[in-house]
Formats: sequence, structure tokens, C-alpha cells
Amino acid sequence: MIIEGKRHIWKEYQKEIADDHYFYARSCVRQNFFPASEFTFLKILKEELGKDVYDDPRHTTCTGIAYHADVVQLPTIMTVVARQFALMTEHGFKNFVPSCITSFGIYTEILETWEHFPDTLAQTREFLYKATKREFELPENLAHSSDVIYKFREDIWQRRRFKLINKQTGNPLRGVEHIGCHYAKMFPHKGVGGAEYPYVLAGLIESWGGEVIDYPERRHCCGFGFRQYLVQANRGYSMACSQRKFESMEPYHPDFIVTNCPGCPFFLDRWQYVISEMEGKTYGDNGHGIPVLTFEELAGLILGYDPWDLGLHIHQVAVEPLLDKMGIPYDLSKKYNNLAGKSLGEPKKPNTLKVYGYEQ
Amino acid sequence: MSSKRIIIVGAGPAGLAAAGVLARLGASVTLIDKDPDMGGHLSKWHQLFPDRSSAQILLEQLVSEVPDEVSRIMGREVIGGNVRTNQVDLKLDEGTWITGDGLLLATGFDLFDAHRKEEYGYGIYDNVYTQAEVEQMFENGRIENRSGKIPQSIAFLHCVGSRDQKVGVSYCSKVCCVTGVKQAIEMREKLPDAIIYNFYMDLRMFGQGFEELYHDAQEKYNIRFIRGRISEAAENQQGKVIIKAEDTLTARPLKLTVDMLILLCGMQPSKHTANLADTFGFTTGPDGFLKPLGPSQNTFRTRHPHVMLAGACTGPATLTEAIQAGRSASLALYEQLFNIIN
Repeated sequence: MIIEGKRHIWKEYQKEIADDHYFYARSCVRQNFFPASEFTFLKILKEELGKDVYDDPRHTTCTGIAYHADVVQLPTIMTVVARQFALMTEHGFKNFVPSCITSFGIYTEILETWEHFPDTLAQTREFLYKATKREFELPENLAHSSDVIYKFREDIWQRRRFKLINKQTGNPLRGVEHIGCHYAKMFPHKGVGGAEYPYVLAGLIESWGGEVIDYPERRHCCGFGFRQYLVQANRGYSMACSQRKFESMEPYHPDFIVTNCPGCPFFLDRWQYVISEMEGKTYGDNGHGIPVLTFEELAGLILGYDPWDLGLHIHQVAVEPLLDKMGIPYDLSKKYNNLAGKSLGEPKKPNTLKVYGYEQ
Repeated sequence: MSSKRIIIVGAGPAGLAAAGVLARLGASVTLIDKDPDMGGHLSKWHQLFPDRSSAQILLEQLVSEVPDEVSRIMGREVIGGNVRTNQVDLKLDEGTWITGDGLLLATGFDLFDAHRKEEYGYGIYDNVYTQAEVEQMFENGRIENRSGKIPQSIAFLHCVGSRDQKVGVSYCSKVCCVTGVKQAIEMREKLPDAIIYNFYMDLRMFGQGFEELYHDAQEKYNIRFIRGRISEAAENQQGKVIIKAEDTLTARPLKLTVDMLILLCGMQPSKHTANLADTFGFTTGPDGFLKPLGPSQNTFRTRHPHVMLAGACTGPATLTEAIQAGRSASLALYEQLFNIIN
């Protein structure tokens, strides 16, 4: 691998990322999958970095999943997106930051469409006005929330409490970065580092002391792939995709996987459990899985947030091996408590995949 | 002996052929090239298709046909100038000017920059090469990968930067097909036990002996031809290249691990050609190459009667075509200048 070749490409694919005053659009599924990630993003931006972020409770799903499943038509999704922009405009913001990669792809695709087909934009304005009496301006800057964390990665590093370095050995921890397909595969110049060798998450790993793994199936889909999972009969294919990735990355002994998409961490995390139950196969050290994190969770660990406040107990694959390597303290007795300190009840112990908090 | 002063820009096969003809006709010729050595891409090649003759011997022949009295300005680039009636003034990068009665542009092509097909990992993965690098290996007599090992499996990929709208190149570069076949045969001769693949979408064997070479590659040299373009390449821990493709004849996806992936890159207008087109206001075609006055007749002429074009600056060309074009354009230019003066 010739790293200079990658750096050359990374230089070509840089994008403008606004440095303050963000209108934040949450994901419709991430709050269920990884409930603390969006909270952590807002906490980092507002409390750590002092940024102005507006989190509007009136904004809705972008309907991206329904659009990609052919349930929602293009004029409809454009009007929904126009409503999100109208909310942004009403609050005086010009920088739009979606939490979801699919939404980011949707917003990017629609803005490009409107740029090339002004009549479609005019029609969308008309649809929105008829339906809601709202009007909107186009965002001056569109960045995914992982772009924003990438932009401030050095600021986060300066506030670090922990590093991506194995405390026992002093070696960099080895991270797999998995990028959501809709981040840059449609519009390479809209992603940091482009589509083939994205840098947005690799940059986080590098800046926070870790080492990036490039493995043969790096580009492959996590397995969500919308229809692969949404159509129940296809779910075996979904898992096969994830398995292909695990088999490919396993020889590199990754310490963690970091992702920037709603579906990817969910499937890369949950399917490890399913594969272990079906085939008795695990991909991490000593019968554990490979911990899978969202980029906000990884940033939160670097900043020293409590792992359970980050929602890491919701993961199927135990994250404690990574916490141990980073030297992050945690209290197993509080792992399954809610924010009020009341026990949520422990999940059933997996048959094969090792987890902490049970007798092994 | 004529007193016509003719400037030839480009000392590749077309320019050298033109210089030889014009000098023998008695014109005063100045040959300019941005490279310090003559020959252009030919100087970096080992063997030629379809007869496997030596590139260096051909180059020596072309150079030997250029008399000593031809003025050579090597390592200098034309960066500006004026085309006036019956006169051409060229500015060189060192700041000097030269003047001629006629101009023949033979500024050739650049190989498509393989970095632009990012999915193949050229410049990133250790064992992804271009056909130009492989010619150098043949010339040096050593076929080995980046870590010095002799490859046992090799994949050639056709049409890299040819007929590919994704990178803005919709035209066919025409010589890469037969180059890939020729190089595969050379590989087989050097590496009798290696597995050698050619991934193609179709093979355009248009020249004399090309089709026969293709059949020999299959029947005598056991080259495996797979109809399908490679979708992506990756690298494993051993530095081998993992390629994904679709075999469109069996309608099945394919995943292979090879020791070397060789990209058969197409031709694109050289930067020098593009700069000169801007400088002199020459018309370019949709492919970016210089566009002569006519597609059948006047294929060397520009709107300036005393400025001619020759070789791959007007589009992808075989060596044969480039040499023929150099000779024909030089005759047309000489005739033009002779008629103007008299």
C-alpha cells in the first residue's frame, strides 16, 4: 500500500464545511439504533466547541428509506426536503447538517437536481407552498455530521482524555472505517476524500492516535442495502454481505469498526451476534466480536464520556475489550441502568459471542 | 536547394518521419521537442505489434533518416507564438523566438492518467501497473512485482480511459487492444507457468496481423480472455491484487487474486497539444485532439495553409499511421510552401 497515493487523492477531494451555525436534522432511525449518538454530537458541538446548533423538533424523516424502497416518489421527497429547508430558513440558518448518511445523499442528490433542473425546483416550491404555506432558501453549506466532526477532529484531540492507543503495548489501535454508501458513492466530490478512498473517518482515526486498516472488502456494503433487509426474504443476503466484510477484515485484527451511517453500525454489530449463533464464528479477540462504533461514540470515548452514557451498552457486540485497550474505566454494575440509575434488566446471554457482565 | 524554413514541433515518430522527408527535399528544418531525447513514447517501448519487432531499431531508423543539418532544439517547450500569413513565430520556454515559413505539429499524445480510475488503485496498491511500465520491464529483461518476486498470475485490463464516459473519454484509443494481446504473449514467453488473463469488453483487432495475434494468444500461448471489465481492485496483506469483475459470457461475477494488474491505458491529447491549441486557436474535436480541416481529405491541414498536423495529436494512431501521417503531412506542407512562394 502506497499511503502517499491515498494522500494525493485526499487532497483532491476536500469540501467546504461550515464552521458554525448549524441546522441539525436528526435521523429517523439512529435514535432507536444508537440513541446517544445524536445527543453526543450536539453535546460535543455545543458544550465542547461552543458552536451554535439548532435541533428543531418539528423536522421529520426525509423519507429516504421509503424513496429508495420505491414507496415515495421523487416529487414527494423533494417537497419533504423543501420543508426541512423551510424550517432552516425560518430559524435564520444557512448551514444544513443531517445526521443520516442516506439523508445526506438525498439532500445532495436533490440539490444537484434542482441546480440542473430549475423548473423542478420551482415546482417543488409550488408544492410546498400549496401544502404548508412555507417558503425556503437553499442551504449555503451542506455537510454530513461526520464531516463536522472531521472538521473539528483536532479540536477534539486537544480536549482528549483517551487516545486510540493500546495502553498496555503503546501501539496504535487498529480501526476499520466503514463509510455509508450514500456518503460519496453518488457524488464523490461531496465527500471528504472522495468515494473510493474516503478520508472522513480515516482522518478521525489518524488524528486520534489510531491506525487505519485497508482490507480487500473495504468498499463493500455493510449489508443493509435497503431492499436486502427491508424485504424479509432477502435478509440472508444482507447477512452474507456483512459476513464477507468480517471475513475480509479478520486477518488484520481490527480493534474496532467506526461508521458514519445509521444502518452500517447496526448491521455490522447485530449480524456478528447472528453469525455467532448460526455458525459459532466470532471475529474479535478470544471469542469476542469486533466492537462497532458510530463516529460520535468514538469521539465521546476520546473526550472521556462515560461509555454507558454514550449508549454503548445497547450494542450487541461488547465494547469492553476496546475500553480496556484504551484504558477507559467503566462500571459493569451500572451497564444496564437507565439515566435515573434504575436497572433496565440484562439481556439474555448469547450462546457463543462473549460479553462482559456474565460469567464466561 | 530551397530556402524554406520549416519548424516541426514534436520529435516522436511522426515528427521524425516528417523531418527526414522535408530535409531530403531540401527544406531548412528545425525540430523541437520538450523532451531531451528524440522518439517520444517509442523511445520507452520494447517490442512492437504485431510482428514483435524492436522499438529501438525502428527508432534508430527514424533518427538515422534525419540528416545532421536538421537543427534540433531538444528539452524546450513551445509556450506561445503567432501564426501570420506565410510566417510562424514560436516562443520557447527559455524566452527565445524562432521563425519559420511553415509549421508542422506532431505533438503526440499522453497516456491516460491511470490515477483517474481510482477504483483500480494505481499509485496506491503496490502491484498495479500500466502497459508503459510493463514495456520497461520487458526492456530491462526483468518481470517482477514491487517486492521483487516473479509473478505467477497476471491480469491485463483493457479500455482504461477508453470508451469510458465516467472519466469523460468516450472514444476508442484503438492500439491498446493489440498492445494487451502482444504484452500477454511476451509475458507467457517470459513466464511459462503463469496464469495470464485479459479482461476486455471487445477486442478491436483492425490491423493486418492483429486478429492472427489474438488467435495465437488463445491457441498457442494459453492466454485466458474474459469478456468483462474489472469493477474494482483491492490489495490483500500479501500485496496481491484482488479484482472483481463480471464474466459477461457466463453471466457470473468473478473474484480473482493476481500478483500483477496491468492497466492498458488509452491515449489522450498531450498537455502540450492542448496548450498549443489554445495558443494558436486551433480547433479541437469532441475528443480534445486537434481537428484537421477534413475527415477524409485535408486530414493534415488547418485553417492556416502553412500549418499542418501529423500523428497522434489529431487522435489515437498506430505507429504505422503516425509515421505515414508525418511523411504525408510533410509532403503536403512542402507542396503548399512551394506553391505559395512560386
